[in-house]
Amino acid sequence: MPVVLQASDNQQFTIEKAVAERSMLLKNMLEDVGEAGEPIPLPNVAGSILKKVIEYCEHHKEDPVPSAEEDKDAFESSRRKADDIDEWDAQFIKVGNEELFEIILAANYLDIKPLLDLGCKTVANMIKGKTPEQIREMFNIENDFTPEEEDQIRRENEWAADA
Amino acid sequence: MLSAPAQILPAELLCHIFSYLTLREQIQIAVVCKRWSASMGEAREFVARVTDRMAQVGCQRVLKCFPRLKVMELRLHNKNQDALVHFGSTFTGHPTLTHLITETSSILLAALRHTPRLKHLTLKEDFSSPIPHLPRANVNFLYEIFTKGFETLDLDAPLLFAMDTFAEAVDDAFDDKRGTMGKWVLPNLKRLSIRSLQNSSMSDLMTGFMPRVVLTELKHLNLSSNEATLPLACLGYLAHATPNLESLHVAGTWIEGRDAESFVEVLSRRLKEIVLIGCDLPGLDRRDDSINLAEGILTLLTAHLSDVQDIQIIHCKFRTPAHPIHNSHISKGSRTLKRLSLLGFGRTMTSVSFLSYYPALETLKLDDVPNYVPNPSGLGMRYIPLWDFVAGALVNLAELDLRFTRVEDEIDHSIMSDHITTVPPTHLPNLTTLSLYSIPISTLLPILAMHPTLKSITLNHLPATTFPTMLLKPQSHLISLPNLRILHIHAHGPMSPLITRTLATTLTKASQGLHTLHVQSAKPALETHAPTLAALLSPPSPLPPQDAIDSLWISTLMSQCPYIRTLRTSGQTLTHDALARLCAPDAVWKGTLERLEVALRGIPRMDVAYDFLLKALLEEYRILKGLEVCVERLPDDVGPGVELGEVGGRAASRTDDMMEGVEMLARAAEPDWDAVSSSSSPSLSFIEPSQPLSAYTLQSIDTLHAKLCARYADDLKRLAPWLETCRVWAPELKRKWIRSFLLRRMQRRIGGDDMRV
Repeated sequence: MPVVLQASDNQQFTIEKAVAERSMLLKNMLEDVGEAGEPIPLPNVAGSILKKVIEYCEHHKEDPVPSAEEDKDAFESSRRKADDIDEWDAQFIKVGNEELFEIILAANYLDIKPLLDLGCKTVANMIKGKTPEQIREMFNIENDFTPEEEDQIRRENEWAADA
Repeated sequence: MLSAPAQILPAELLCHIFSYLTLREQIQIAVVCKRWSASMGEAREFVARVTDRMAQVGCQRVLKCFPRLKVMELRLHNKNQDALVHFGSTFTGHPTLTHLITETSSILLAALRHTPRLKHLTLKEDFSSPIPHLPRANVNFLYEIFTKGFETLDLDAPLLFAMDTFAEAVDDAFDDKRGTMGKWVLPNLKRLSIRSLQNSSMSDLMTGFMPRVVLTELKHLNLSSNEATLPLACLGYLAHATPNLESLHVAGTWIEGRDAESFVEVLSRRLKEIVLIGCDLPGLDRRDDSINLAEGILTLLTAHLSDVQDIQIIHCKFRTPAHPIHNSHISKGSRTLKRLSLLGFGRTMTSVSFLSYYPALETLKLDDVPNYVPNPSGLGMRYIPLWDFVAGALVNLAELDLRFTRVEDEIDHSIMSDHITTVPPTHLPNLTTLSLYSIPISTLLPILAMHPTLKSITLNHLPATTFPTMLLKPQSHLISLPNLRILHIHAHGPMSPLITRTLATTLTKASQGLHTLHVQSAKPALETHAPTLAALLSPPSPLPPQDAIDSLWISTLMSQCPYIRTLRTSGQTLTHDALARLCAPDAVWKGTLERLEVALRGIPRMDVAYDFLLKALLEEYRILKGLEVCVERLPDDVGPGVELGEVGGRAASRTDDMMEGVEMLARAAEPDWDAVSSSSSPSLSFIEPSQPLSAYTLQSIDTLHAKLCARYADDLKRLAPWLETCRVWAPELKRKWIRSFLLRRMQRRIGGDDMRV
């Protein structure tokens, strides 16, 4: 039974149930409401991004579903090793900054943890080795600290300089 | 919003992103903007190597930045014990912390009393760590730990075990009336590891603690000792104290007992996993050499433990019982056993035919096995390859690790020549992980060609005295490993550099997703005049000179495997070109490479090209976490006089007395080294003549070598602060220095007894 998703711009996508179930949000929704055949509205996700997310889910539809239990609490972040971007994923996530952030938001909303991790890790890799100024430039972030404030934070955090 | 895409992310997602950064990187981004600064405070994890600066500021002040931590890890930085201990002692508790991993116990009291959510503790305290807090605290820390209701405990703290005993911990519990029905019930503990036990602490734990407690929920127990004795009766107490234990690991322990049967009998029948590493155990009557010890022990274990899934017996010693035993007949085999490791049995594992009684095996590790075994079917050939026997008997294998008895290139053809067939090796449909030790390449390639399912391949000690022509035949081009992620190749012999490299490019032709590659070649100390590749090939091929990794090899790999995260090459040096290829604008690994280990032919501090290229490389590889640079060998045209002279900033010609250089080197090992070196910005001018050579020992050469390397590593690290580890070492240089140094001593006999090391 296919599932129909409707993006914020009313674009519709018909996908296999197994693909939709990579999203915990959709999985729970499908369990609750059954398969009505009605399009599922996703007002937070634009069509272009949804298309990309579906592409990811298609490719990963046969991955084992992580058990909810082991995910809870158990060392959450510390076991979150950065060394698991696989080559298809790396290719997939080579997108512009704006699209990357949109994908992260969509993955978070749709609750697709592996995609969320992939997106976040990619951003982290972009940040690595850059100075704050370079980071601001890269992401077009305005520095809203006064020079005094910035200086104070730097002083407060001096203990980490040789960490 | 379009103008600032990063700002559309809510704080929780920023926090998720930041969790992939190191502590220093996290702190650095706090000045990017206010939102980011605030998000940093959302961090759940704090992993710190404690520096003096952190110790000065104190734990509470540092943790103020992290009000919502769950995981905290405190580790030693540069062997600075005092900073770590002091930092730990300034901890006063944390409201949200659940996991604590610490290398000092100074944090414990506050952690135990003022950190209400703490559920998981790992304490690994070196015996050289200062412990002023232990005598001062006036409490039994073990009692405090056990009474806290942890779910997992991993304690490795020999000094703590000596100060506060397990028996007293139970006494304290009874004083507190925590004990009911004569036992102290600890209902929360699920995993318990106690390491570095000594004879006394093992006895304290097993006779003073275990008989008086009940660990109702304990599933995993790991005991590791330093050759402590464990009487069998204690294993009996253990079975009573841990009614739901599923997994038992014991390492480094001398287990008493009459014979293997009496040992197996005291184990809880519910165990699903038993792992014995480096233990000394009661064995079987082996006056008859034909008895297979490995098979016998395995049969006893699987007969007693009816649900067992995992058995690992690794480098244990078995004592022959004093009295002959009449083994009752017990059924062989198990249908539940999924994982089996039998390592270190050597000749006491007379055959491996018993494996066919364990058809459910998914993981198998064996060492010291022959390439060929008698054909169990008795039909046809007398001997079949071990591979075919194992693969035929154990069709469910997904992970296989076979370490063959060392063979050189050719197996013993005098016995086997009649029996070798051209039949392809048996296929294992589920095989994903394969590790083979000392397998001839001619046997290896057909196996790999059969198994495109493989994800990880480890090849150790490939014999490499001659270049196997098979590697150049079209057959090897049939190998396609599209799922391969990890490849380790280690070969031993004069042809090993060429063989490891050729294998690496041959095996990864279809392995787009490879992320870890390790090629390691080892040559015998005395090189034989092996036939060169050129002699094997006609017409001469444009293959690279065999010792060096050149840019062609790097290019080939880059095009075949664009997502490499770990690249380690040892035993063969990287040419300038190869290093330049890594830095090229189109180098695809820039966005993926996290660990790099290379060997250079020359000292980067003196070899301007290497120095420049290494630094350029760091500029390009921003997500690199670990860099290891080995000065594997010195350029042929550099004698000791030259490189040492250049170290000193004056050019000594190689025909000069090479001891000149040694003398300068010895001076360089002055105690005021740091003062001298820190004042000089160009790295070469750090030697000031001072004391006479007689003031130095071999040790100062060692120190000199270590400092020279560490200083270069520090230079690199300063350039690339995102590196977590950076190591430089120059074994060949050190060897040369020491040789010249000794030679000089012998020639001049300076200082009489100064030969001490």
